[in-house]
Amino acid sequence: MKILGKSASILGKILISALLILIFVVPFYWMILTAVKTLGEVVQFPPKFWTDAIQWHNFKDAFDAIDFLHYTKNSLVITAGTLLGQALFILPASYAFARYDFKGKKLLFSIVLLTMMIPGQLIFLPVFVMYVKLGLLNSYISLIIPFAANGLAIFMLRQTFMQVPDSILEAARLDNAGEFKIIYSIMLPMAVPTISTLALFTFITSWNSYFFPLAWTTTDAVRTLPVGIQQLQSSLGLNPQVVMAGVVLMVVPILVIFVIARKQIIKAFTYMGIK
Amino acid sequence: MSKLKRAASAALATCLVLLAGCSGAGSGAISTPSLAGTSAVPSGSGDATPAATDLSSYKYSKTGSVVEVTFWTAAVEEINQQLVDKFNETTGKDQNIHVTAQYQGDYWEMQQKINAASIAGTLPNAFIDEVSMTRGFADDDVILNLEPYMQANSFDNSAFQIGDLGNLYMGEDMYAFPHMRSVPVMYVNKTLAKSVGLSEAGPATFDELTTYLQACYDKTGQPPMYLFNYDFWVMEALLHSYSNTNILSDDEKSCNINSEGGVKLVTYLKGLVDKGLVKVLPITDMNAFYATIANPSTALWLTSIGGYKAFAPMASQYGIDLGVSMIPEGENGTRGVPVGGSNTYLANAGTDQQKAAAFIFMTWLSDTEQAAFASSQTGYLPTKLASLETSVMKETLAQFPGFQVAFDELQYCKMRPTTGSYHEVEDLMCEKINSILLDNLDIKSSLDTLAKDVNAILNR
Repeated sequence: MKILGKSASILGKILISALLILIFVVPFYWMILTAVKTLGEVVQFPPKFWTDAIQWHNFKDAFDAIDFLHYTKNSLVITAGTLLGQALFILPASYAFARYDFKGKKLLFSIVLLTMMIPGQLIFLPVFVMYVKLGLLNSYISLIIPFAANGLAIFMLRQTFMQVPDSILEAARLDNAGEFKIIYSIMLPMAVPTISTLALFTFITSWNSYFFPLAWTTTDAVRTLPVGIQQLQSSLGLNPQVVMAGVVLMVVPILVIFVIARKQIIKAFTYMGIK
Repeated sequence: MSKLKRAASAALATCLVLLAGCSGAGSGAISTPSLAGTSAVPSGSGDATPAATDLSSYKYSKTGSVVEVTFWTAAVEEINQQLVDKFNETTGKDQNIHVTAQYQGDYWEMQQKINAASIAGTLPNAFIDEVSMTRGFADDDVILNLEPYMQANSFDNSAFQIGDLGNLYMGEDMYAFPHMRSVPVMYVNKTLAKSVGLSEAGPATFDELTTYLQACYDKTGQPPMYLFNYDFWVMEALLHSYSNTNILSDDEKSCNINSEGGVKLVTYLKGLVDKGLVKVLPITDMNAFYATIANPSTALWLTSIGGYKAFAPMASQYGIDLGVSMIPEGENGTRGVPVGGSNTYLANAGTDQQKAAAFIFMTWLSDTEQAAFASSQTGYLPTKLASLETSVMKETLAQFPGFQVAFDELQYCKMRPTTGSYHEVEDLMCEKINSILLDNLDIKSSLDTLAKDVNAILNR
């Protein structure tokens, strides 16, 4: 009886796992399938879950219709710049909020949290005007600065830093370790899972960013890949298979990063869950 | 605790200041734009048409240096770029005018960007946007009255014949040129009609529409028509045709969706949905709507003639012979279709010379040959009937005879609303009418609530 119950439990787990895999994998499969179909197959009713002949030229068509390399370069620069900016601003800010007591700390932290509640669309206009006045329109910096600090990231990293026992820091200070040394040698290694997760979130958000790279630019000079993909749709009209091929090309870097960082991400969530 | 309260108060105050700052800037965007180059606006521009003696500043005079014109585009990017390239190689080269096209997103993103640019002083010299935005731009002094430019250049605007021209005017004055125009039509699955024994021309009236759809449903057991309410434009056509009702009042201060005509139409559509004759798709699912074009059991589609060139070959791949007919007529022969698409606007920015050069570009863009080229490449209607006489349009009409229906339908055309907030109104109407059709809400009370919400937007 016990063996039967155990088998049912294992079968249940397998079925649930299979269902979850389906939920997550099917959208990706559909995206890739659409990217290699003909237009006729894309709009065919009832829809087909395979293709008779893979249309590799959809990728070439997407590549040729817009300046793919230019937009990719811009996305890379802006994403890397944002990640660098966050490393410069978020790490010290989180450390200060977690480990120091200073006047106005609660107020400042409240303001940090409040930034999460202001929709970006609300500030796009005044920021646009400010950029024009500062001569920053159509520059990389205009698309990096507003995202170089992030309320959610400061909050999450602060929580992680707060979990480091005081005794470890005191021991480090007794060994004459400075604050920079403490952050670099103690805090950062202990926060790697959280930092990896935040970096991935930032990467995805920045890489997929459409609204601000369009709203805060007037030329294609620094526009990102999602804006290029939208332009693809506007240029080609009813060609969802080519647009989807562009989307597949856009998603590849995110998948690669995710595969590389997946262990750290799982660890981050597990770590936070245990605490 | 008191510290926490103080901190919360301070944070709240900070937030309010931020929000107030933003909303203040936002409202300024609409009502009091500080325009770049305002000082360079030729005297007499704006509402009043200048005296004949002032017209010289509105006429472009070629000099030794090239005049740069920035042209913001929205939608059909590739064709707009080709047109700009052609201008630069021909008239632009002759006149020392160079136009740079810059894509700015869809019509509504363009509207936001134009408003932002008018405040920041970075308006382009000319731009494309949706037809219903003329009043909003004119009220905000974002665009220029074209009358003095037309007078100075002896431009004859009588050649524009794309149905109702109301969306080009503010009062008596012309503020926009038509660019790519379209009307909603009824596409007919002639193959299915033939197999069911129905007219291949589709139903001519709404009474016929019901029996037509029922006959197709009886044959296939599938919904024979899909409503794509994101395209609210189609609902405007149905309101005109089925109920002889305009969506907004003449002064655009109130909406008529809860009027007798509005209730009558939504009740009629709900009846079709309940019988399984019409399936309502989610408002954002454009691809699902297009997919129905390859579905042999779909009998009718109501959407833009602008998609004809893409739809016909797509349907053909699945053995569907696609026909085009007019939107059915209502009782007493009522029929009305809104003319949509885009206009080109001359922005209130730059030097007199740039404005005059931008006007030269706009006139070239609207000319017979260019209108014919744009129409043949996209499926939009040419903005001058003279374009129909060009060889390129004759070839297009021979290949796609359904275009003729759209031209014929122009006799029933109606002006679209011009208020600057209409896009917000459209979004709200789409969402709520979809809810009524899908969620079995009480029609009259739901439309009353919707009208109240829409009126609040219109009178904001």
